[in-house]
Amino acid sequence: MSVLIAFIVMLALFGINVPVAFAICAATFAYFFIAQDMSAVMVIQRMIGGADNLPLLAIPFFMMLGSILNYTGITNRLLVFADALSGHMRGGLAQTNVVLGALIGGPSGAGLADAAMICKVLVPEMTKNGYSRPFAAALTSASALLGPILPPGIGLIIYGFVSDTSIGKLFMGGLGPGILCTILLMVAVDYVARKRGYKPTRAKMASIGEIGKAAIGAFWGLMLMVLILGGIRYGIFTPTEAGAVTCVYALGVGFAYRETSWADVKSALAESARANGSIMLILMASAGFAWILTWEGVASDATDLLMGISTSPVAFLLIVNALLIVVGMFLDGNAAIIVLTPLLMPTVHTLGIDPVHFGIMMIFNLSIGAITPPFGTTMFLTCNLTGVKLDEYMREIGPFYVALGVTLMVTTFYPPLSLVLANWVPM
Amino acid sequence: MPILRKFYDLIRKLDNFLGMAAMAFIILLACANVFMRYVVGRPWGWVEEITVFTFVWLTMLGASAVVHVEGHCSIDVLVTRMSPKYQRIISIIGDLIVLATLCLLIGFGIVLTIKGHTKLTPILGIPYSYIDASIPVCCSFMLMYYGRMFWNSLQGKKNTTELDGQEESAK
Repeated sequence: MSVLIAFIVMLALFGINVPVAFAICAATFAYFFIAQDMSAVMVIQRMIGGADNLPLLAIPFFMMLGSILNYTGITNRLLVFADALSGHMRGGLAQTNVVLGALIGGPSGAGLADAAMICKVLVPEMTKNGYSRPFAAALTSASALLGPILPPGIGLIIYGFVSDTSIGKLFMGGLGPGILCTILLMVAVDYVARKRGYKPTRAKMASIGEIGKAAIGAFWGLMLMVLILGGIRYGIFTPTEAGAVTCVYALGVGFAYRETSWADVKSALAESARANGSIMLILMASAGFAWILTWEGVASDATDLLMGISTSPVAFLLIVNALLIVVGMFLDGNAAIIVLTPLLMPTVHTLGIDPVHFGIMMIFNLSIGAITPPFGTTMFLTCNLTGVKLDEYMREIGPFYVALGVTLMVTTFYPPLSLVLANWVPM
Repeated sequence: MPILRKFYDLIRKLDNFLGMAAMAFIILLACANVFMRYVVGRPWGWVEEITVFTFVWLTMLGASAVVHVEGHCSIDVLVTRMSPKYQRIISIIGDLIVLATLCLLIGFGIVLTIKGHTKLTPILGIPYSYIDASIPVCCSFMLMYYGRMFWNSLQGKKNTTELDGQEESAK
């Protein structure tokens, strides 16, 4: 009962524009004052406990990597490479948008940051070349979804930490669904481009030589992914250390390209310190709130409830999918992972579902919520940055939903898509 | 009150600067540890404790610095659809809730900090107080920022993350 009150307080505070982190804290305090004899010092202790964890350190590191990339010229070189790969296709610039989302999304790991970056780089270019602005905005938000599931997504790190699953395995596991999603989004772009006659950017396919040249230009950027995945696969460093090492690596590349100055480094440091503060504060607050759920035994109630409905894994996955999309529309994905994972994990284990498979499905699903009206955060960001109205945006997002929905279904019901690569990691 | 104003500006520069420094420090420390493990063959045992310590402070300092620049993320869809009068009332209620929450965080944070004095980290023996203190200290910064913004909005001044119309510089 008192948990229910805390939930309602939290949702009400979200509704009246109280910052998410403080809304969660306020709800936790409310619970302590109403229903607990224990001192609310516990809340602070749990919050510190939430941040007092080495694996989570990967968050600021990959945030930093995302900031640095924009200052090093790696992004621009990847853009040239993406154009060489996909410029000859129908709707060339739109295809490039997807490919860039996949190339950048991996290394920077955060959906919001990618959406912001692509909005700045590609959307003006697309509108100049006759694409409708709402289409460009919808596409950008869809291709930014590739960030959270392609390694090293922040959501994967948080899920791995909360559910005690190997982060290295999750990184590898995200590759399959990420690549599938990239291909399906490109098919969706092709469909729209065919209908509206969006032209390719270049007359014919780039020659092998041209692609090679672009690849050499982007070589050090492409090596980033190899460094992260290879380093983790062969146990050279932990996912956390991979974040730190690639930051230094990207800075080295930036200085070598002569595109990074010390002032840029300072801006990147300050930006990522703030971005980390914003995400981690929500995480710390959620850790406090999650303690209430554990204390009140909500997890076992949830398990009983879910097992009561059906004991078949397929039915469970379907129910969870529906639930998560709704949650994703209202709640920040990372906070949702912290609060919901402990509730769902017992059932996942009982039903014998692989936690890696489940995690990737969960994260992808929550990201779809982030581009779904009425509350999706990524959707708001792209609409704001591009000046597109919500109803225009919604008219354009249809084909991309189909692509994302198919990816989600395949990921859900064909576990090998995520597990084959994941099990290749020895950890 | 120029002295208060100076203090306020000083704190704003401080959290931003310390956040930057902490970020640079843990990145270099993590890389140094990889180097020690592979090249020297002797990783430093104490790195983990110092890193976690810095991480907690980095988070709280960043959370404080973000108030002025991007702002903490919140959901404003419902509020923006309301009439200006309701918007004003709701924003006052919301601000009061944030201020009250910060006061609670500071109060209980201080209690925890004092309690943490006897709990030591296993290798270096640093009292947990130094980690716990990040919450009351940085929440006090935030209380100051939000308090000022609340005051401005009560007086009907435009409430933004900018200060007195000057663009916030992140550097």
